[in-house]
Amino acid sequence: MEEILYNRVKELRARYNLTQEKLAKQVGVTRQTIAAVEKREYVPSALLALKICRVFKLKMEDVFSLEGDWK
Amino acid sequence: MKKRLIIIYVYTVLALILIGWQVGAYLDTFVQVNQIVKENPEEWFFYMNIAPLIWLGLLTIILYIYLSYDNKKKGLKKRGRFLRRTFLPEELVENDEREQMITGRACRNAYIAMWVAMPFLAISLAFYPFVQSFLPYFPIIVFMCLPLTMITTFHVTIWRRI
Repeated sequence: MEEILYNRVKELRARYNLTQEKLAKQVGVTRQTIAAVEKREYVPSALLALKICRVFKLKMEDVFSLEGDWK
Repeated sequence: MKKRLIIIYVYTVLALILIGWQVGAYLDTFVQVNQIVKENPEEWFFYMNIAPLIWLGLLTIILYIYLSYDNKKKGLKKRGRFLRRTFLPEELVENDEREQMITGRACRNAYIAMWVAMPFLAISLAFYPFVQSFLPYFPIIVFMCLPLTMITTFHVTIWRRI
């Protein structure tokens, strides 16, 4: 069974008014990869996850979680 | 992205067919040369069909022009040294870690497909004596089926994951 990594990328992107294209450019990947991360179809590497966190100026655990239990 | 994948797949299959055709033409030429060496006539004359090679060249030029245009439009750039940029197949060009992962999976599946297909293709060669009269190039067709299986598996995996 594949592990799921919950994330708030879609929500944060909306809050920061960023399109998938813009975020992808900032972290150096394709738009399809951001879409796949948001849909939990792809688990990003630690490097990409950290780059995404840096864009939103948040800690790793505030963006990614194994349980998806953000308050 | 999927349109690009289809175009590259169609080109690859056509290239395989043309290469198979060219190998058949080489075989014909070798038979003629063999005859010449045996009979040792005063005048040497043999011919070789190079039409498949010309078609392959034309197809490659067309694909190259299309991909150059498409890369420019999408802002894609092959990285690395000149040899890598020139000879790396387009289907192995990855733009990020997810595409690298997909290529890895596709290569893995293609490798498995090779080992599954190999015994069937080897067994099918046993039928050559029965089909030789109407399908003289049967071994070449069987031989070309192996890369076709691998290429198809590779592209199907990418299609499903991209």
